[in-house]
Amino acid sequence: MIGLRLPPTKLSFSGAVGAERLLLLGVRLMPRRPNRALARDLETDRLRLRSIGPLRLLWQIAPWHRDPELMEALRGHRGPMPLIKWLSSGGRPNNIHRFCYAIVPKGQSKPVGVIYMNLSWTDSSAATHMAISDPAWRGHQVSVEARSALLTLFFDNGVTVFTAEPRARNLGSIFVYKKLGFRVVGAVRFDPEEAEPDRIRFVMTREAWRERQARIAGTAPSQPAGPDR
Amino acid sequence: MTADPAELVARALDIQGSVSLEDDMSSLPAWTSLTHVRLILEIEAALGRTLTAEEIGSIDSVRAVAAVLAVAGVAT
Repeated sequence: MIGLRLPPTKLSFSGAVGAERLLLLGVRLMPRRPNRALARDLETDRLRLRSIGPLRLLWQIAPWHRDPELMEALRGHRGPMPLIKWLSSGGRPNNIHRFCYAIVPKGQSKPVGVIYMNLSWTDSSAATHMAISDPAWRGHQVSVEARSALLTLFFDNGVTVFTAEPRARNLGSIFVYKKLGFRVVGAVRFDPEEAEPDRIRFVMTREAWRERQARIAGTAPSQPAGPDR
Repeated sequence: MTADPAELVARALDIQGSVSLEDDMSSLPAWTSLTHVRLILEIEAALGRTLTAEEIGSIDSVRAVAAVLAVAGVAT
């Protein structure tokens, strides 16, 4: 079923499925070293992307539970969210399958957001999520710039396709994926009882990304400086 | 109620100059994540209803806005 040869046995069909699941679980649980090629700092024109671990991530995102705009965009939760619920609602970076980067504008020390990159267990596909916590930096192409740098890094290190499924009303996130050239491949029905689908599914392949980057190389206008301080 | 798609985009993006049917996210620097939200709300106001997920996913150019408005019969 997955191209691996199981040892010859006389297992029943359900037994064979169970054996396959145990095998996949074993592969998933095998100790793996951190991926240093991906868990590293990057720089763009205006930003520093700093690879961070779980404790620093928790420290940075803890105050976000009070921001109703962030809670609506990230969790579909109206209004502020209880702190414990917020901190327990997301994955933690392990620098093996889940990576997290603090977004720090050059010339500043305080991050203005974080970006997550999650690899599938085969390391060939990935997904990305991010949030800009500082409202002064929203609408200044920070998401596009940060994601663009990380997409290039991940595509250059084995990932062949990125997927994304933002909520249909997360319009800022949808804009970023469209701006980056992600292709809409469908709408995802989150709740079968709902009349309208709740998410939009995007895809970007490594080939499409590299073609896009080659096309815009040398012709992109300079990035806006950022919010007036 | 009718709506010119280029005028609607110019109003949402707060562009004083002209916007053409050939313009899109790449050609209009004023088209940011914040103005994109405003644009979607302007389109929904022109249509008198909430956009579907498919319609939201399609909007990345003035021509795409025109297509959404034309389907609803409100494009000039």
